Amino acid sequence: MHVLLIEDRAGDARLVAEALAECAPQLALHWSCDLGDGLAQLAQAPVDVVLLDLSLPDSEGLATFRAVQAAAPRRPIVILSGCGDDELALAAVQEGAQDFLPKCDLSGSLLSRVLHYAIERKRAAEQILTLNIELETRVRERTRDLIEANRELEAFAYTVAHDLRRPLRAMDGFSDLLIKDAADRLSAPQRDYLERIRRACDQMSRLIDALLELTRLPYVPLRQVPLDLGALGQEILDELARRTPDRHVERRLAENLATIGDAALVRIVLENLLSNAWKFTRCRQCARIMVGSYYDLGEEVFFVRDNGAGFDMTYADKLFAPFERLHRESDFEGLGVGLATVQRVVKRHGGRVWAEGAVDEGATFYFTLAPPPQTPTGGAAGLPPATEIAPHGYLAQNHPAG
Amino acid sequence: MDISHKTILLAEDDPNDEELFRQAIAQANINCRVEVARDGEELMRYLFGTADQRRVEPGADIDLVLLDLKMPKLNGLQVLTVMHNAHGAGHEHAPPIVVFTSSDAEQDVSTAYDLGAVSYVAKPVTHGRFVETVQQLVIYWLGVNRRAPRRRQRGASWASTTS
Ligand SMILES: Nc1ncnc2c1ncn2[C@@H]1O[C@H](COP(=O)(O)OP(=O)(O)O)[C@@H](O)[C@H]1O
Ligand SMILES: [Mg+2]
Repeated sequence: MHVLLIEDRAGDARLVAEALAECAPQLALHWSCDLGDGLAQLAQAPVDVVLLDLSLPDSEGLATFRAVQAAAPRRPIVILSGCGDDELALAAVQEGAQDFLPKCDLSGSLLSRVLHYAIERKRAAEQILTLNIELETRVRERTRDLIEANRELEAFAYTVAHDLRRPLRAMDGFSDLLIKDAADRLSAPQRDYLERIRRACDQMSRLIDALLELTRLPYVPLRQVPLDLGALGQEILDELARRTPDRHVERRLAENLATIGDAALVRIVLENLLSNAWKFTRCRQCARIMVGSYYDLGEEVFFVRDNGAGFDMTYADKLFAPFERLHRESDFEGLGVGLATVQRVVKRHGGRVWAEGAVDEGATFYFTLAPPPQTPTGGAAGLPPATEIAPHGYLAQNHPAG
Repeated sequence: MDISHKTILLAEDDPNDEELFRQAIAQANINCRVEVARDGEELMRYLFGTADQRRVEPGADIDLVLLDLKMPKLNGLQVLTVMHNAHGAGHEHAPPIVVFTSSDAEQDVSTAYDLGAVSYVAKPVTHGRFVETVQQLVIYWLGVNRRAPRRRQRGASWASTTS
């Protein structure tokens, strides 16, 4: 290991040499007696650590340190300070010197330890620096990849919209024209085949719409406003009832399901959950759908519960993946994108969604619409009523000042 | 409705969509003329004339352009850009352009309006809704809507504009 000592006083230099020879004979000492020579040595000789006196014939004070640091930014520098010069030495440490040693009590063991530590510390610092640079490069690369992927996704969605809808329109259009033109010449099965083509077209068209909606969701800006999930749920259930007047479903909606969220997006959540509940209770004489909320660890959790066909909990996490279904198309029709959409919307709000159910015993879908609250104690002592937990803007809306 | 003296320019490269369009207006006994441009270049020739017989007024004999955005060569947005610039250059009487296309991407919608499209209609996939949409579009733009009267010259006299 090579130590470069830059020190103008021969007496001090000898002290250092003696201390080193005694305690760390493995250290090779090179001596420069002014800054000019020191910098020249740094440029040529292998140097592991610099031992630097700040007051030299050709340079004085912090300027000395800065000159050496600029010439060898990756080399550890230890200041050799005159007695009573601690303040100056500390200033150098603040600017990046590894340590300082007062000349007046130089012992071999101290010197050796300080030099070794200085080298190790500098090495560690360098490593962190390299790692940081690497990390930054990687983050930049990832960001670029991500932007690229997003752009591809947009291009894909565009293609889906244009190129897949077009042939579909032709299939549906010409089968419909054929049914109308040749109505009296078609046998019942022939007619049925054409009707099947049209139904398939309709399904694919809805599939494309849903897929597009799904790819768009992460990009639509959120507009958070106060919402009443009870009223919204009521509205959606009324519409479902209107569309299937033969169904009798008992509905229980909790009062005061106030929250904040994006009106259009939260409506999508409730529409999907409620139309699922409506659909999967079809097999029930006494169908029941419940919408409510409860507090858990200071967090409001909403739920939609039904007593319908239920599902096997083994596959509970599959439900939220696009196109995953746990029921047969012949039993319950569907595309399998509803819950994937629900999950995306809920995540956009910072919330979570999960499900519980059992085959033939109904299902419950839970969701939150905000990130979980930070609870430093981890406890949820004394659950506050809903209005107290609601954010400020919301309260102001409901109870105008005055 | 008798709009036999009116002309629609359908910018459409898909023969299926063209046929479905013709069927849709025939069903409602709409008897206007339908010209078809199968790509952006052909559309430009309809609107501006060929190189050796430039038109003074782009699309003077056309009452409505139905524009598909996705066309070979020049796409719909490019055509809109050219028309937009021509309009700025004093061609006030260019025909209204209605975008009638498969995509309803928000970006397309706003760009189209920025470039002077008067309306943006997404082509429905389901045949029933397609027919309905085409009929309403054509009846509105050719039968119901009135365009600003044509001015002979810029700054024409009061008497000549009201005659
Ligand atoms: N209320 C429910 N009861 C039982 N199973 C459900 C319920 N909601 C959703 N599922 C299951 O989750 C699957 C995915 O739901 P979803 O994404 O909405 O698609 P779809 O309703 O089109 O089938 C459904 O096919 C069904 O297997
Ligand atoms: Mg569903």
